[in-house]
Amino acid sequence: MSLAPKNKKDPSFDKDALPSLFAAMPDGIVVLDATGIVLYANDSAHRMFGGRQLLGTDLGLAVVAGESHADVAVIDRAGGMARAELRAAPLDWLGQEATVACLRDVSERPAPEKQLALAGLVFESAREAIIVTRPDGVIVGVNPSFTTITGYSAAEALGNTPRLLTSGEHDRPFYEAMWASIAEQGFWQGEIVSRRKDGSLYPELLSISQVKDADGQVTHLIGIIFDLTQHKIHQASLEEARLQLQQSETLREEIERRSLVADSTVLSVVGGMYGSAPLSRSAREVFDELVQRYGRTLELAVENLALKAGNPVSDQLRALAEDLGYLQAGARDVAELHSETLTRKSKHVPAMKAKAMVEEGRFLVLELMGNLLSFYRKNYSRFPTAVHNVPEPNTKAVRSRTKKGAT
Amino acid sequence: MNKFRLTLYVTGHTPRSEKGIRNLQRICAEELQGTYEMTVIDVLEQPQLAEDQKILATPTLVKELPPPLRRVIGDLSDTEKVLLGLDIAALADRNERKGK
Repeated sequence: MSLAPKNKKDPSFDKDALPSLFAAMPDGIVVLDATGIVLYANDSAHRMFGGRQLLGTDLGLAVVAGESHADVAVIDRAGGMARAELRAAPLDWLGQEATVACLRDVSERPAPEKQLALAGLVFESAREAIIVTRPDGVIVGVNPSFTTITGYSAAEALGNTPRLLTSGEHDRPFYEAMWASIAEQGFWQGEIVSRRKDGSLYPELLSISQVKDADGQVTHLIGIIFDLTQHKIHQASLEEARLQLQQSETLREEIERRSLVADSTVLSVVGGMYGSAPLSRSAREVFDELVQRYGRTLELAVENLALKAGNPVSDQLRALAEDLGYLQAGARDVAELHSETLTRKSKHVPAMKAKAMVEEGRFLVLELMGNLLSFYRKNYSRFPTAVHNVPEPNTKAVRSRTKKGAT
Repeated sequence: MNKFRLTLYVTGHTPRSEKGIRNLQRICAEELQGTYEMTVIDVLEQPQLAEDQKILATPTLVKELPPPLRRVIGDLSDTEKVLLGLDIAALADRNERKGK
């Protein structure tokens, strides 16, 4: 059975009834002419504007983008404000172009805690504890995880403040900084220690965010607590494992270092131990003389190879090694001595001789290294602890000997 | 060319107020190129001024010059509706008319 045809004939649905219909409407209805002057306003509109006489006043033409509404603030006579949604539509008002504006008071829209209860799925099922407080800190909502983590039931928490969880582990400046951040940025996040109902302490990651209304006023604070207890245990075991690994690494390095002592690479250890600049830089003159001596030895060695001359190459290498030892030369110095000598010597000689020098040089440098190692072994038996007893390098002595050798 | 004098009444430093100001700045820059004077009044800071001007709601945009005096309330994001409400023909239209 349709009601529509019946209503059409209903005598009570008469245009005389319209004023009482508009008067009873909870929304403010205002009719505006093309310039924004009020042609009509219902009771609710008058109420919203604080009982002002609206007829004939210039409210302004209602402008709303598209089909939606505009958020406006309605000012009553006492200067009070009410938030309202403004809707507008064109209208033919007694033959003239007009606009009907509808104002809905939204000051009493559901508060966030009610909305949270509606959109409660996230709230109810989150593993993180969620606390909703008023700006003054009074708790107005907690989720089940809050009880799981802190031990406090919702009933115990509501009406209380988060100070319930204070551990005493953080000082006043800590909290001052936290609240300053919330006031300035609307947000704070950090690790804190809190106290459960049973008195035990636990670490948590806490995020605090402000909730603001359309006017930017803070209505609530939301705290989200992520319990770090398990995380910390995990972190501690990771740290322990890392320490063990580090210890074994150190041990391995130590073993390697000690075995080096017994190895031919002792030379680089000595060189590294003094950590000084290479001889080629720290004692250039001496180094140059060494290069000349080594170069002559190299020539003699090549002569031996070609002419079976029987030059005392090994003796010269031993003497050279001894001088290098007194200079505390390292493997690096020997390598430099070798390469610089080869570079100089091979410059102005026939290709065949240069090649011979390079080949013979390989044996020479090995022998020189060996001699230097023997020198160190002989002089510093408890190497490297006794290395400090190495005689002071006496470059003068080396130089005079070098000169003698040259004559 | 007549200079436009526009006053925007807002309530506090809220996102809504800022949006209104941004919209007005856009309209002025795009439609009234250099021929305007723009004032923003916070009715919370100057309630008497709002009372004197009989401002009933915010945001309200008032075109004081050139006459006729016109007001619009609501959302200023729809430039065309705002210009129409303020009885300002869009610059493009005016230029077009001048050209003809």
